[in-house]
Formats: sequence, C-alpha cells, structure tokens
Amino acid sequence: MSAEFADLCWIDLAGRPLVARVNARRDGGGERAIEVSSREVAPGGSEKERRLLLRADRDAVFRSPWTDSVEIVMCDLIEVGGEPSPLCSRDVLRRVLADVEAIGAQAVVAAEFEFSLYHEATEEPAYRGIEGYGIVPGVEFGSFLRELHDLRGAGIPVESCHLEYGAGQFEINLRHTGAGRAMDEAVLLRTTVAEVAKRHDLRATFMAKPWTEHAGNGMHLHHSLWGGGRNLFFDEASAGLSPAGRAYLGGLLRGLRELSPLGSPTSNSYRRREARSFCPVNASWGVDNRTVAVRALTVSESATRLEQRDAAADCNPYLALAGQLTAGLEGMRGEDEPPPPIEGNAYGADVPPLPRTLESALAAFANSDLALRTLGPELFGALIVTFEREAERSLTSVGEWERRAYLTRV
Amino acid sequence: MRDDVIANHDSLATLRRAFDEGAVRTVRICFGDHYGVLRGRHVAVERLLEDPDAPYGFCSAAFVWNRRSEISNATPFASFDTGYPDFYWRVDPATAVVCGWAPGEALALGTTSMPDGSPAFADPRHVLSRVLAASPSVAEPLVRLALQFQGPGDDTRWRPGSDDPWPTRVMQGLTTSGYRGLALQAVCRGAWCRLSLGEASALAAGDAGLVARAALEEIALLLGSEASFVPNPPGATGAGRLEIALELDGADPDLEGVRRRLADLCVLLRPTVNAYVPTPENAWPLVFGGWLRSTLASSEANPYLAIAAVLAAFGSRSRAQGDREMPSTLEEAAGRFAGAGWVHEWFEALFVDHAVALARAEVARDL
Repeated sequence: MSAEFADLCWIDLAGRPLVARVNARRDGGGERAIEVSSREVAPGGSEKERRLLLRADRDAVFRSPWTDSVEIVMCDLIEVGGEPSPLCSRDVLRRVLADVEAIGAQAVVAAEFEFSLYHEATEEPAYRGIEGYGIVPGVEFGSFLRELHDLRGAGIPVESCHLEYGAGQFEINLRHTGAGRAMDEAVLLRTTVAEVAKRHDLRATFMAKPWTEHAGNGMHLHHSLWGGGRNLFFDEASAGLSPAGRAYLGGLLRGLRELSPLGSPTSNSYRRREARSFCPVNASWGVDNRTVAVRALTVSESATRLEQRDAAADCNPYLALAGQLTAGLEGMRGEDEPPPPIEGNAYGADVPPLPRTLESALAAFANSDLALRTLGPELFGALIVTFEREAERSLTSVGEWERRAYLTRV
Repeated sequence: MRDDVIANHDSLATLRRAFDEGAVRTVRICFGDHYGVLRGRHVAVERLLEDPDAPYGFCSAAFVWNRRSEISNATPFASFDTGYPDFYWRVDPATAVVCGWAPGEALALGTTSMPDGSPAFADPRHVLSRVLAASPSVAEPLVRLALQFQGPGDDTRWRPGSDDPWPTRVMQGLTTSGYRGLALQAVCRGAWCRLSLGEASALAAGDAGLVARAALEEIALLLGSEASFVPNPPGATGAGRLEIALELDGADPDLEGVRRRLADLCVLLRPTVNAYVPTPENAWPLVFGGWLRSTLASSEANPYLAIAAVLAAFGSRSRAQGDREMPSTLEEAAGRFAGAGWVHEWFEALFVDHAVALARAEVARDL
C-alpha cells in the first residue's frame, strides 16, 4: 500500500461500488473500522437488517484516476463471524469461479458496455442523430475520450471506444482477463466514466433504455475457458467450437430465460428488447451474428469466445456473469448440445423468446433451481423481493406517453 | 510516392516518438465508408504500438450506412440476413499521422478483411487497390485531388492578411500532420472553398482526400461552425465537387471513350440523390498540362471510389458503348452501372451489386 489513503470499495446488489476512505498508512488498511448495513447492500432484502464487515482483497487494488494519494481497494462483504456474506456479489462470483477451477479451467472474460452522454439540464443526448463509428462527430468529445484511455494508468485497461449506433451513445471495450478482475474493472469503469463525463459538463448514463426513440445500452460479456495454456472452446480440427465449447454454449442458451433478471434487473431493461435493434429477443445463437443472444466467434484459438449479448449495461456485472458461468458449466456437465445456429436474421427465428417484461422474467427466475444454486437462498430471496418491488412500481406508475395519449381525451 | 503528399517515411516510428514525447495519447483507427465518411474507434496509442499487427473487429454495418448512418438492408455485403458479422481492420503502417488539428490524437488507416481472411469487398480502399492491381497500365499513376465545398462563414475571411482562424487552422493542422502541396482558396466569389492536395500515388491520394475532408469538418466544428460537402445546397450557385487529375505520362487518352465510361460509373462519382440536382455542366474530362482532369465527382463522393472510377474509365481498353450523356438521376446511374458489362473487368460483381443496392436504397429513402 503506497498511497496515504485507501477507498475501501464494496458492491451493492445493483452492482454499484460504494466506498469508505481510510488512512491506509496509519490504520493498516482500516477495514476493521467499517460496518455496512445489510439493507444498504440489499435494499429490497427480506431478511432482518444486520451489520456486515469488509475484508480487503489485496489482489484487487487500483490507482485512483484522479490523485496519487488514494488507492481503491476492492473488498468482500463478510459476516461478523468472519465468514463470507451471502449478500456479497464478489463472493457469489468467486464461488462459481471455484467451480470452474474444479474442472481444471480458468474463466477469461471481457466486458463491453454501451453508455449515453447527455446534458444534465435538458436530459437530452449529447449529440443528435446516429453516428456509428463516427470520427468527425466525436471531435466534440475528444478530450473526454482521451481521458477514458488514460484509465489504463489506473489499472482499467480500456481497449477501445467509439461512437455507437444511437443518439449520444458510445461503446467502450475492456480487455480479456481473469473473470473476477474483469468484473472489478467493469464496475469501476462505469463509475469512472460517469465522473469523467461530469468533469466535462456532461452526464453519462448506463441506463438500459434512456430514451424511447434511441437505442438502448447493453453489456456484452465475452467468455472463454482456458486450461493448460489452451482455449478449451476451440477445436483445432474444425477451426470451430470444441465439444466443451458447444456444451457450454448449450448451457448458456438454457439459462437465458430463467436467469434473465440477473442481466436485466429493472423494468426499463426490457424496453431494449426490440426486433432489429441489435439487442436479442430470443434464445438464439449464431456464428459472428449480431442478431442473436449468444454470438460465437471462432477466428483463431486466442480469439475464440462466446459473447452473451442480452444483459443491460446497468446490471450487476458480478451476478450476471456468475449466472452465465453457472449455466455454461451446467451445460458442460450435462454435455448439452446446442440447437443449430441461426444463420442470418434471428429476429424472426422459431426459437424460444426471451422475456419482454420483468414480470415474465421474474416468473421464470423465481422457479429457477439454477438461479437458487448460483446465488444461495438468502441472496436469491432478496433479489426476488427486489424484482417484485421493481415490477410493482412499474405496474403502478403512469408514463409520459400515457399522459400524452389520454390526458386530453374526452 | 506517398512522400509527395505525406512527409512521414516511417509513420509508426513517428507515432512512437510523438507518444514518447507526450504529444499523442490516443489514435483513431479508421476507414472510409461507402460515402467517404471517416469512421473508426479510439484506442490508446500504446495499445496500437504494443501489437501493430493486431486485428480490430468492426461491425460490417459500417459499409452499408449512408452519410446519416441509416442502414441499408439490401446489399450482399451486410444485412440482418447476414447477421452483420465483423470485418477485421489491421493498420497500414504507412498511413499513421499525428492529427495536427486535434491535439493529443493520431490517426491510422488500415486494410480490411472478412473473418475467412478474404478482403472486405465493400471496403472502398480495397476497391481502389483492386483497380490498381487490375491493369499494369494504371498501376502507379500520380493523382491530384481538390475538394470544393462550402466553408464556414462568409468571404470576409479571404481578405488579404485576414486573421480569421479557420484557414490558418486548416493549413496548420494538415501541414503539421505531414501533408504537402496544400492550397486553400475561395472560389465562386467566396461561395465555395477549394482545398488542393499535393500529387501522390492513387492510394495515398485517396487516403489524403478522406482524411482532409474529415479534418476540414472537424476544424469547422471546433470553431463552432460547419463545413458542408453537400454538393447542391439549396440556393447555391456552383456545386461541391471532388476534382481528380491523373498524370498521363505521355499517354493520349480517348476522351470520348473516357466520357462514356465515366457516365457508366456515375454511381461511384455522384453517389447521392442531391448530386443530380441540377445536372452539372462542363463536368466532362479534359486534358490539361499533361494531366487528365475530371470534375464529375461530387463533393460527397468517396475519394477511393472516385479515383477508382477515373482510373478504370481511363485504363479500360473495352470499346465504349454506353450513352455519352450523364445519368440525370441516381436511379439512372445505378441502372447504368449495373448494366455496363465492361465494369466487371475492374470491379467485383459483388461490389457492383452492393453499390447498386446502396444507391437504390438512397433513392427509395428520398422518395
């Protein structure tokens, strides 16, 4: 620990990093001084409120992008007795990664996010029109984009960033790395992007669908499993997916519907799911196909991966990935065989649809043994309560379009 | 040959030096779409320098967008029916420049391929490379480009000794980036501006035309104004165009044949509906000072495709059979391109189908 202060950072159920600043040099890490309310971590939790403590993860330390005097130390939530808290998102993922290691593999993951820049005063996108990969329209945001790349120095290695296919929208790509580290980088990236935007008199949102008329924001996770220095998803003979890769894919597809709320946790998440929007609407897969839910890429061994594309950019990345990994491992255990790939347009394909509302997603989730095993009973229950409250709030809210349509109808 | 237009000899080394000196932090890895709109991603310079051979994936939709990023779903290259697969971009080391007009940024163009390694047939830079390879007679011609467009503001900036920032920023920006032989002037009594680029090999000239157009737009935006490449804005006299001059090196072109062939290639030279309103006059090729000069291309034409069209029209030995009059609409131009058998000597059938489909999609949108 070289910095004077440490921001001890834990994750709530929405995937937001929360921090406490401590004097790292004087207090030797200082996490013993921090207590966290279980209600703060899981506001919708049904269990009685209790105190949780932090355990610093010294393998997950990041430099502050803004000052040399502060380091960011990722922390796990633990119970007073010292055992991991069932409400700790990082620990949920760690348990699943232990299952991956038990089969002699390591999970390598890369996250890519879409987000939208907007003006705070008007809540309108920072640029109008669609400017996919646009260079000239990006000139206004040149210093913002350069600062995002400076995050490499803070240990958040941004691979690339570009204007995306929606008003005010950008895509940002992180590197492929160990799954736990990848998710730490992902949550810190989101909050740092928001801060960089603010320093440029803009606001950044990862909200799944901020505007009716513009494209929504997704999170795509790229999966591969490695063992003995080889990509277990790659089949050299066919230069395609290996049997292990196909089984994992089969598991991902089977888990898509029942695990949907982990990647799409709000009512708003489901407004992204429209045909021809580049957001998947069914449990489909294909080779290098952007209309499906799971896109297989098999160009070379090092680049072979499965990209799950259904999650919203504002989900809890740890839980979304934990669910996806569990589903993939289930597929491998059961030697699942995926259905034939979709060649071409998946939007009209005859495959099971993904939920279009949080209510329908919740119905499948609440009956999911896969979700229960991924999350454990307490977190599973807390999430169900959270999703039920969210769905109820959505059902009982009056939207702007309704006022426009009916306010003056007599 | 490239040194005639860009001063860099080893542009990745130049980029590395600029990075080491702290002058650049990000590099735009770019390509030109069908309409010559510069598109790409921003990556950290060290990321590119760590592995200059690394491929970068891009969604193939990028080559079926129009200038407003509206998708055509009708070409054989990419559509919802293909699932919009990736194409892969690799840096062409000769193209990297420090962006003199955008502090802290560099830019590199690249070669593109499909996942199976085959060239991305819809990439205009590949189309020009293919035309250059198609005939030894036009393999290494010198090319000069000039862009006529509507610059920001009025003609007061062109008073002698004007301290208006825009012309100075343009010249400083492009000169700092290594571009040579530049001239920026007012034409048509200040209604239009004209940027002349130095002579270069065909591919380097296309690269320079693509980047210079983006730089002109960017610098205007940075100054809170706009540079427009719409060829026929309402109420304007004259028209935006891309002038292409080809060194003849003693050759004596069949101007009538070149004219007929250019008329067949209008869909590449004048790719938007607006370019045909009104029909341009005096746009036919002529020989001037040892150069074949064409002013037929509109200012929204892709420089690679426009150069490819002039090279093909000049280099073809096929007997010209087409109508000598220029198409009066984009629809007519698409039909001429689709029906001209000789063009297949120079352009892949898939590309012909692609260009025709894009043109017809533009016509349909306009309707």
